[in-house]
Parts: sequence; structure tokens; C-alpha cells
Amino acid sequence: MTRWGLLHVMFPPPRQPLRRRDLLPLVLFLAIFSCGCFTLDRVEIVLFVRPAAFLLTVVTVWLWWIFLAGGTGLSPARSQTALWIRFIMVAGLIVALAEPRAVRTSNILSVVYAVDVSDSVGQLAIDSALEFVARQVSEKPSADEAGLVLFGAEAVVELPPRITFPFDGVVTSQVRRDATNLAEALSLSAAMIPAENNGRIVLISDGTSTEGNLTRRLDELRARDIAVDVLPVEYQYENEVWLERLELPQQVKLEQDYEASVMISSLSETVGTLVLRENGRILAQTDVTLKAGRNQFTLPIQVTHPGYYEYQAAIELPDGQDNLRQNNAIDNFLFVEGAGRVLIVTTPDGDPREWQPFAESIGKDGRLVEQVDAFSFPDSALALMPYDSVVFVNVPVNSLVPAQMRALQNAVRDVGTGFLMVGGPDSFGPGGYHRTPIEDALPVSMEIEQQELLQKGALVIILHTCEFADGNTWGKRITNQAIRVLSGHDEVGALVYNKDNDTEEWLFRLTPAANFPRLITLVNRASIGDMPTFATTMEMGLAGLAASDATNRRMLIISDGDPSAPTDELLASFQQEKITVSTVTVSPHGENDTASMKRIADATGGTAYTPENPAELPSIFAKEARTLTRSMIQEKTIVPQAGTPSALQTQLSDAPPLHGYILTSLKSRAEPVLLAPDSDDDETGSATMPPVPILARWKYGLGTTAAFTSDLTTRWGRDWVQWEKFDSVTSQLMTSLSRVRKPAKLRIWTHISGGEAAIVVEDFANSEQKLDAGFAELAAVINGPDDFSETLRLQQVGARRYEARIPLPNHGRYQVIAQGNGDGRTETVTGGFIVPYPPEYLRFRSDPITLEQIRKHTGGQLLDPSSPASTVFDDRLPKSSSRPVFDWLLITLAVLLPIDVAVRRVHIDWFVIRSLLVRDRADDPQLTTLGSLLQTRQNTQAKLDAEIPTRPERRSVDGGKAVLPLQTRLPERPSDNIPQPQPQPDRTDRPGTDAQDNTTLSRLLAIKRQQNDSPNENRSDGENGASPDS
Amino acid sequence: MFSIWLLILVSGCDGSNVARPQMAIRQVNHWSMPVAGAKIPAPRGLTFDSNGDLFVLDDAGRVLVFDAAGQLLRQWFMPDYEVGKPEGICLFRDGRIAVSDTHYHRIVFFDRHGQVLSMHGEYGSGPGQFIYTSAITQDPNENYYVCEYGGSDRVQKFDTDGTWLLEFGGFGTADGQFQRPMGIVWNDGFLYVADAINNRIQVFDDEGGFVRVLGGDVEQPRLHYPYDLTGGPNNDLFAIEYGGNRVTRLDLLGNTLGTYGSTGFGVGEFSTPWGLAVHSDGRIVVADTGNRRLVELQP
Repeated sequence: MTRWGLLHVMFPPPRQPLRRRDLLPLVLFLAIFSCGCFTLDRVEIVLFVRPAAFLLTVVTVWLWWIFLAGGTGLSPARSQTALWIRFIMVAGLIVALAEPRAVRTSNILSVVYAVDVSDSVGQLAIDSALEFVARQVSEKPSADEAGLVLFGAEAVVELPPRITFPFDGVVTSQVRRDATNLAEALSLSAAMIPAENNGRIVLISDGTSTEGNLTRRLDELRARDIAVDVLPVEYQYENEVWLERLELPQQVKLEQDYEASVMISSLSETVGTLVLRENGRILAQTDVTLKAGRNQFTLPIQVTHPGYYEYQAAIELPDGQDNLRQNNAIDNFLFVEGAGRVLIVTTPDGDPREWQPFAESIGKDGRLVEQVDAFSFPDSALALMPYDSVVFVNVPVNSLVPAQMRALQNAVRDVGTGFLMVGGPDSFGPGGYHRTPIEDALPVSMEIEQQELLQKGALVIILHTCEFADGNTWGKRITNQAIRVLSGHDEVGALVYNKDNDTEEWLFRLTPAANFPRLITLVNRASIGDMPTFATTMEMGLAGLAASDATNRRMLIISDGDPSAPTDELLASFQQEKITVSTVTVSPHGENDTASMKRIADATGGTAYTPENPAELPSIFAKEARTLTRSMIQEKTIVPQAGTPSALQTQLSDAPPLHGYILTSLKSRAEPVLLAPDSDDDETGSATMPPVPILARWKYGLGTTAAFTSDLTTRWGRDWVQWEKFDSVTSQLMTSLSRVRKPAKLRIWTHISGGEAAIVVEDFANSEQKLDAGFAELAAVINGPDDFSETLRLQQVGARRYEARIPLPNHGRYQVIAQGNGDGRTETVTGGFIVPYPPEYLRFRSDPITLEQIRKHTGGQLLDPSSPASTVFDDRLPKSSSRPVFDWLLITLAVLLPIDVAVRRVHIDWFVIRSLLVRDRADDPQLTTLGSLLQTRQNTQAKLDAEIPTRPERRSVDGGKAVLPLQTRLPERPSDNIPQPQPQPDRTDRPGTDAQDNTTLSRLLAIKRQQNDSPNENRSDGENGASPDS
Repeated sequence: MFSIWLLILVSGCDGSNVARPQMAIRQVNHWSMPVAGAKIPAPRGLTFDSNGDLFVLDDAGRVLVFDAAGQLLRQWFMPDYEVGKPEGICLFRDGRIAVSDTHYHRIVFFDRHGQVLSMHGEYGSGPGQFIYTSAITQDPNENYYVCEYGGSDRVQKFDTDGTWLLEFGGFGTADGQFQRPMGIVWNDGFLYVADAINNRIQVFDDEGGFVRVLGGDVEQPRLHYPYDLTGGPNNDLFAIEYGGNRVTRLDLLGNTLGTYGSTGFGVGEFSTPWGLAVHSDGRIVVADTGNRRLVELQP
């Protein structure tokens, strides 16, 4: 096609001479569109990111021209409507391409108070800071927002910025206070400020930052135009004493005298008492005089037995001579290798008969056996180094803390310590070990595969906000623990009075506890308010439990007891449904509240708990939850069946019966030594039932663990403890579990200096090897508190000497397991170090320079404790923000598109619609007039049809009566005054027209055939077809 | 498009948006509560005196007096407030200020300057004893009525000297029984009691005879934990709903004349409001307890 041909197609000649009034729509549109967009932009209602897109407005001229040239065959009104819809659509497209953003101007100021609650600031200063915040917020303009962020080692939002500030004056968020992270505090505070509001941060801190990159955060704040006002917490200690180092001999021999060296620093001259403790026992105590600066003292020590010795040097000072007590003690340890021992862990205040038969049995072959209760069990893997194996005898999980369980897990996995859990009613699942590190280490799982053997439990927990410190936090924590100990198929639900919408509602309905992670998230997000009555939540819980198919259904209420009590009728419903309700009353207002809670428990057969302190709550909740897992206890006599053949299994081939055990599931890689026999009442066929372990073991990391799901007491294992092979079986079992010690050719030293922990390993392999022979790789795994675990590669720094350093982690006990590979051998050595206190406690004066830097960098103000709220809240300018409105334009276009098609293509015959609506009412005398009109219209139609002989009569499909079609109008004939390129042939002359075929389709086909027969006519019709309607 | 329309139609048909007349509020003012240490206390009971001063109880254990502009005039603490904080306040015709010292099971009478004049009551469920006192009102004969909850949910009537006259009610859901009566107002020989947990207002004669539940069986006003009740200037009643987070205006037959408020912390929103007071000029002040503020509504 030539250039002119293309132009001709794009701008076909108009069907009629251009008149002035034809320009009107275009001019009108351009005026409205340009003025509208210009005005929106000028008054800052909408901002256009790409204004160049408005050049595309010229397209509307072409659109208008094509419209004129093509003609639509529509009535003038519809034609104009169609044109304007097209204009609007194109306008919408142009505006969309210009990337419009709705502008919102806000005069609201959002102020976030960031309060440093780290230990270096001190509680008095924190209290003063919170009072400052409360006073300022109470005086703020009512439309402005205020929020509160607390920070120490991390930052947390205590209250998000809102116009209300429901602060009780007590910090409820949990913040680690042994470090200061100003960067995170500022970052979180800025993140809490809504983008559309003016923002301001008021930082109340001593300015000493121990963590985080502050410079980058300040740049971000400046970019967001967020000023940071600072209220310095100023202090400078004149008197401060801190212990820097406790040095112990690296290698000791038994019963030899050694010295412990203590280095103490002081800011001023003072006196004090230096105390040295060994495993908690005072070893030496002496009065010392400290001069300003460093002071060194030595104290004698002597080790008489192999084992793990933890030493603590502490200084006791007169009042006023010290400010930070946290840095007044320092720890170190000595490990003297000796014969391996077995540590038996028992229930605190438990019955000695639980463990004595077993302890005596394994001691008969010369093993050293120690017994501790669970409360005294070490919480660091370091302290477990002297033990070759650890045995838990019927110990419930709520007598342990997570750190103790992680210490045992680390010792087994990384050091090779053996572990055996001996059963009992408080062990395994009923003991609450579900989803714990202990379960992870054991060869059996508490998740029961044989669900049919268990009774399903259902527990509903009602959480009422408790008016003691951290009440809601406690409530959430213990709820999580209760859910955790449940078996996966047990159901659990939680009900609260939702503070956000002030109504009683399910936090989550009865749900299998297997959904533990999701449920925990819901609990943690809960907004728990003060419920006025127990009745509503109890009714909801009753309905949920009544609908459950669980066998054991319980409800647990934690409250201060002041909501209105349930009626007797409601309590009777619980009795009727055999649902027990236990109550936990915390911080009641008086005896009446306690009595109210007790009444609920008594009426339903539950237990009423009134713990004196919140620390008792976890064990109460765990105990209540564990009542649902009692069905895991199988109290019946069985003869254990042989599992996988092994030396131990051979010993157990004629094992006597057991009179009870705990249901567990064997893990896939575990070795079943003994199994429970298949159940007699198993109707599903024993072939499909997974085996139930009685004794199983497996390798877990470097160690071996075993599970004996029955007990070794007169309760279930009475035949075993009297069995003649009992001693040999226990001996063989412990031998198979215990850590195998190899002669160490590696030695490890650790020390702390300059904010780093240094790990040094020396290789003392035999001297025949070359001095430069070394390990191809020597790596160390460091395990510590708070799930700290890091692997380091040690660099060779000398002949057979390797070293690595890491930045000092959080305070606590760290175990280091170094392993060298290469030179044809693999060697492992275990050591550790203790970080006595974090660097936070080595800050003895505030850092106003850092605060000043923050203030200047962000354009903030320096505040003082008496600064009125107006200092902070009066300084603002209206702030504009924008957000894209592309979506709305897209929706508009999507709506207009079908309207555009409908306007041009669909003709609605209202007469037909009316006739359809009134068809069934034809006999209605009131419709006589309409009927006559219909008749008139039909007559007229018939007359018109008669005037066009070739126009066939439209017939219904069944050849019956003629029906009136929903018509699509044919193009109207051009008026006589418009010059016609080709005369329109008379419809009667259409070639090939079937006299009986007068449908729209047939007529269009006829036109097409006509065009094919006549090329000249074709071009003319083609021009018509260039209409935008095509 | 159809979906959008359908959504609009469905969202409007949940039954919760059944048309209830809205109260015309011309202006809304917020007052933050004065701090108590680092705490921003929550207001609870309210009442106006004849001078237009507003007496407020808060959960810091204080009685605060504000002038009409919201300026704090004076404040004082309850004699004891460690165990719990007071909930209801009433200004007696003889000038005494009666405060229901809820968790101390008594009524404390102050003079206008905060001096304790007397204390009345002790723990118990006998005549003249209380468990948790909540609301107080006085009739024109200067008899006063005390609501209480905590298992002995009832109303006791005393003469002006504190002599026990009668009691009525009891814990339950039947007519004439209460679950946490939290508001009470005397009007023309009848007592209107906000029966909070039963979500209703009950009417008694001033001798304790049960008359009816407001609205009767025909159309009881839809209330969600009405926590306070007071009389308006046009012989009407105003209730504040702890659960509904709104003010509801009723006539004495129980017809809802208007409501105002919804859940939240913005303008026109409340969070667990506990009390309200209506001034003779029509001003309404709400103790927006959860939001720790007083909200003044000017019709």
C-alpha cells in the first residue's frame, strides 16, 4: 500500500461535507479533558507522573475524524453517545499512561516515642521517660497520633501510633535489655509512621549503642523527612567496679594446688569482698582494697576428682560504691577428664522407687552413677561433658526449661553423649514431650500413628485479660504450651473477648492440635480484652465441645475472676454434656472472684487453681492439657515381641511381661529392639498396623539415644526388675548408648579478649609425624544459649596450631566442638567458654555525642524532661502523599467497554420486553388498552411487510405463529441530500436473495456477495466499514 | 459489574444494618485523661452537677472534676484503691457525692472538695451489705438505690440516712433478675435498670416491683452490654453499650430514638465505653474507657 493509500485509509474522506457543528463534540471534549486534567494537577488532587502521555490526546482527533467518515448507522443520539464513550475510553487510557496518583494532604502528625529500656539506662530513668511520654501524649492535639516503641537489644512496638494512647504505665512487651540497638529502634519507629502523615520520633536514650548500623538508618530517616527529637538520659558513674577476667589453669592434675587469677577494675578507690565459688560452693572469701584502675588477685584452688567445675569470682561492695551489679561476677570452668558417668534425672520430689532399681542395676558393673532432679539438670552442654550418658526416668516436661532440653540435645548430637528415656505416666506423650528437642533426639515420636488406640481429646481455653503484669503475655505463652503438649489429633480451641471489636469470639474453633504452628500464630496475634461475663464464651465453648466427637472434653478458663459468673442452668448444661471446666484464678480482686471461679470448677468436676505467682501457670496448663493425653498410657499386661535382631535383642529374647507402657510411634530410621504385641481387638488386621515400640534406639548425630516406653518400677516393670537378666540387660543397654571416649590428641583453649572469643586448638599427635603435617580441615561447632549455633573454620597459625575468633555473642555458656579431618585421621575435642555479661554492662556514662549526631542529622530538637507537648506537636507542615489510582482507571475502562459495544450493537425492543412481561396477564381486563396497541403494531408491521414483497415473513422455528424478534437495527438508509458513491440497490434486486430468507445474517451475506460481484461498490462499502464500529 | 452489584446488595442484607435512627451530633470533642504517673487512666463513671461541672471516676482510683470546657478543676483519690477501682458515681440532692467503691464493697460519700464524709456497707449478701457495688441513683425523696453484682446481683434501697429499706432482683436471667446491673435511673416513680449481661433494661416501681422489660415482648431495644443509663433532658433515656460501642437514646417505652457510635478509636468511635452523662443542655459525655478519653457529643 502506498503512503497516500495508507493515509487515505487512516483519514478516509467524510461521508458528508464537514460542518461547523460536527466539530462541536471534539472541541467540547478537548476543552473538558484538558481543563479537567490541568485543574486536577494544579489543585494537587491528582499528580501525573508522565505528563508527556497527554500528547496522545491527538488520537482523539483521529477518532473523531473516523467517526465522521464512517458513520455508525445509529440514531443521532446513540451515535453521539457512542462517540463520547469512545472519547472517555481514550481519555482514560491517556490518563492511565500518564500514571496518575491521587494526592492526599494530611496535617496529622504521628509521633513515635522510642524509649530505651536497656539495663544501662536504669529503671528509674525508664520510669521517668515513660512519665514524660504519658504527659506529652495526654497534652497532644486530639487529632494527632502517638505511638510507643521500646528498645534494648531489639525494638518492639508497645503501642502503634494512633490518636488514642491506652498506656497503663507498665511495659508489657518483652525486650532483651542486655544490649542497645539504636539503629533498629529508629528503623522500627520510622516504619510505624504512616506514609501520608507528618512523622516525628522522640528518642529517649543514653545514646550508648552496642549493636546495629546507625548511619544508614539516619540517612533513611532524613530521606523520609522524619526528624528525631532527643531527650538524653545522662549519667556518668563515678563509682563502678567490674570483673574483667577469671583465669584458671589450662591443665590440672588431681589434688595439686593451683591459683585462680581474678582481674578487677574500678573507677575509684574502694574496698570490697572477693568471693570465689566452685560449683556454687564458696571456695574462698577475702577482703580486698581496690585502687582506681586494674587490680589483680589470686586465690588457691585444688581439684580432687575428675569432672566439670564451674568457678565464679564475685565482688561484694558497700552501698554507693557501684552502679551495675550485672558486671560484678565472672565465670569460668575447668573440665578434668575422668571415667565416664551416668546421670539419672528424676522428677523433683519424686518417688525414689522410680529410679533406684535401675540405678543400682547399672552401677553393679562399676559405672559411676549420679542422680539429680530435673530442676538441677544443667542448662548448658558444657556441664554435661563429664557424663557419657543421661537417663530421664519418668520426668515430665514441665519440670524442665527449654535451655535444659537444648543442652541435652546438643550434648547428644554434637558430643556423642548417650540418652535414654525410661517411661512412666509422666514420660513421653503424657509427659508433654511432644514437639520438643527431646522428642527430636529420641527414636520414637509422640505423634501416635495408631489413632484408633487413642481416645480423642478436645480442649477449649478461655483467655480473659489478667490484671497482673504481663497478664496477656502470660496467657498467650501458657496457651501455646498447652497446645504444644497435645497430641496431633486432639482438638483445641480458644475463646477471647476481642479488644479490637469488643466482642466474644473464637480465636480459633476446635482444630486438630497438629495445626500447631498456625494456632500459635493466632494466639500470639490475639488482642485480648476485658470480658464482662463468662456466660457468653462458656456458651460458645459448650456448643463447640458438644459438637465434637472427642471422648474427653475439657474447658480451661484463666481469669482474675471478675466477669459475671455463669448461671446454674449453664453449668448444668456442662454437667449434662460431661464437660469438665477447670479454672485458673490469677490476681483476683478478692475472695468473691476466687469463689466464683471455684464454683464453676466444682459444678463441672474440674479443678480450681489459684496460683500464687504466674510462674506456676505453665505447669498448670500443661497438666490440664496432659489430661487429654492419658489415653496414651496403656495399662495392660503384654509380653514384648522381638524387634530387629541384635545382641541386645538376643538378651531380651525371653523378656518377662510388662504391665503397662506409653504409646509412641517408631521413627523411620530407628531400630526396634522390642515391640508391643499386636492388639487382639484389632479388627483392621495387624499387617496394616505400624509397630508400637517398647524399646527402640537410633543414632542421633554423634550420639545414640534409646526409648524404653514401659517403666522399671513395681508399677509396670515389676517382673523385669526381679528378672535374673535385668542387670546384664541394663548393662548392655547402657554400654550401647554411652559415649565412646578416644584418647585425645587435640587440646583446645578458649579465651575472651577485646570483644572476641578466641578458640585455639593444638594437635599433639605422635612426634613421628612431621611438624608441618596437619589437618586438611579443622572446624569448630559453637553451641550456646538462645539456639546459638555457628560453625567456624580454624586457620592454621603455626605448627599444629589452629585458631579462630568470633565476635563475642550474648552472655552465657558456649560449647565448642572442634573436629579435624585429614592426615589419615579424624580427631574431635570439646571445650567451651563463658561470656559473663554483655558489653551493655561496660558502659559507665551516657553518649550524648551519638544523640547529638542523630538530632543534627535528622533536623530534630533537643528536649528536656519538662518540655511541653507543644514542643513536639506544634512543629509541622501539611504533608502531601500520593498513591496510584491506576486500578480505578482500569475498572472504569473495563466497565465502559461493554457499554460501548452495547450502545452500538444492541437495540432493546422495549415492546418485546413489555409483551413478555404481560403475556401471562393477557386476560387481565386492565390490559385491554395495551392489547389493542399490540394489535395495532402487528397490523402496522404486516402492512409494512406487504409493501416489501421480497421481504420474507419471519417464521418461528416450528413454522407456527410469527414472533417478534429482539431486533438489531439495520443501518439506516442515507438521506437523499448525501451524495452516494454508489446507488444502493433496491432490496428487491439483491442477487441471490431468497424470498423466504430475510434474516439479518442473510441480508449481510447478500451484501457481501454483491460486493464481491462489484469491486467498485466494494471500495465504497469498505470505506463505510472503516467506521470505528467495525 | 454484576458481581459488584451483587456484593453491594449482599453486604447490605446481613441484618446488622437494619435501619436504626441515628442521633444527630453536630460536634465531637475529645479530652484525654490527666496522667497518673506514667499511666493514662481510663474513665469509668460520670455525672454532671447542676453547674455543669463533670465528675469522673477513673481506673487510677481518682475522682476528677472538670469544668464545661474540659479543664481539670480538682481531683482526689479514693480512700483505698489497691484492690480495685470505683465504678459508679451519683451527686445527691444534699450535695454529697456518692461513689460506689466496687471492690471494697461499699459506698463512699465525699463532699465537693473530696473530703470523706462517711462510708456505707461491707462485704456480704445480707441487707445493707454489698459484694461489688456498681451504680447508684437517688429519687426525689432522697432515698437512694445501689446496684451490685458478683453473685448477689440486686438493687438495694436506702433512705437518705442509709437505713436499709428493701431489696429486689437476684442473679439470673428471668424477669426481675439481673446479671451485672450496671446503670440505674429513677424517673417518675419507676426505676430503670441496665441489666448489662442480659442485654436489657428492666423497669421496676420504686418499691422494687417488677414492671416490665423495656420494650416488652414487642420490640426490645437492641442493646449489647448496656453499662450505664441516665436520663436525658426530654424525659428520655440514654444508655451506653460496652459491647455495642454506642450511645443509644430511648423513650420510656423502649423505642429507640437514636444511636451514635461504632467500634474503634477514631472520631465517633468508642472502645468498651463504661459510663455516660447527659447535661441539661443536651450535651452528652461518654467515658470512652478503652480509648482512655472522654468524648463530648454536642447534638
